[in-house]
Amino acid sequence: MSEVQGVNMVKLIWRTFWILLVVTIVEVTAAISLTGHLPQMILNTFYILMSGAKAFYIVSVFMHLKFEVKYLMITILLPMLFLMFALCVFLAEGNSWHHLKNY
Amino acid sequence: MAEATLTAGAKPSIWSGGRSPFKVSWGKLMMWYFLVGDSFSFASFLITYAALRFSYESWPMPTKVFESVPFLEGVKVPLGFVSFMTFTLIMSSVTMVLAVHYGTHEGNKKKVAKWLFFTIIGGLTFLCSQAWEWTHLITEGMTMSGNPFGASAFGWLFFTITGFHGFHVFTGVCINSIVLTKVTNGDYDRKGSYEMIEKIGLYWHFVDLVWVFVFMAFYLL
Repeated sequence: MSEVQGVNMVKLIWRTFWILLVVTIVEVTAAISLTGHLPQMILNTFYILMSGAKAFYIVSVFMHLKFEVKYLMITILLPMLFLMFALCVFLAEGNSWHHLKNY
Repeated sequence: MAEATLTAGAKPSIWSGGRSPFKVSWGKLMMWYFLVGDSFSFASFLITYAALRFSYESWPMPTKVFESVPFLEGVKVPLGFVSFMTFTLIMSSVTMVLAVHYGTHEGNKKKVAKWLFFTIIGGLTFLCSQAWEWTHLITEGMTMSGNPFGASAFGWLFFTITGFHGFHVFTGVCINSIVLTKVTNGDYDRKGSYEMIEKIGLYWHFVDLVWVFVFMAFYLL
């Protein structure tokens, strides 16, 4: 890895840290102040998107995946995307069980 | 199929053998795929949580359940302590990246040791905080079969998932400590490569990544 990339890496690492910190603070503030005032589904979508964004930053910068060979990225990201999709599907599934339960 | 018969000007396929098609070492690649497999384990737990949680009429409200802070009796800070735990783990991930950076770019033994040490401290802080949280909830009456906050599933889901994650943090701290000893002994200078730091770095970031989703599931949704 070139020294040029090395010089920018430390800055990138700290910048990513600040992004993660700000996103977490926004999430927690939203959770505390907006629960009950906004429909839960909107809040949940927001949390899932924000957590997805954090995950993206951790995997691509901290785990360095952004700088690896593209095909390696794909073999790892596709299963992860599938898992996130499955999480959303089963959220909906749980909801449907709830409706089915109420006689 | 993988015949590397070269005609003039033909490039051998990256799959022809003799080198890594992804340009990474075997050890690093296998760590990545171990983490993919481990994600499936965690995902299965979190998906169970998601499905069960939304099938209940009412569920304990995280802002009400998680409002205590250690050393401050009676002070209520909703989601305060867990935010501190999240910050600690993210911070330890940053110190880990720095350790990896100074290892692979500079081979700087002292800096690697310093940042790896901070990572271990972060991990230990997280573990102690999690232990406090567990003790606190157990004294409030939360068990694997019931809890005073609402649906009984909340208890065993919380302890199982955070326990499984905490176990990963614990093994991560152990492995980091062993590697730190090897770093200060100069083993990686002798070997000529700090790639081991990269590999355990991947594991540590994975632990942080899982926490992002556990945190989201239990404390936000």
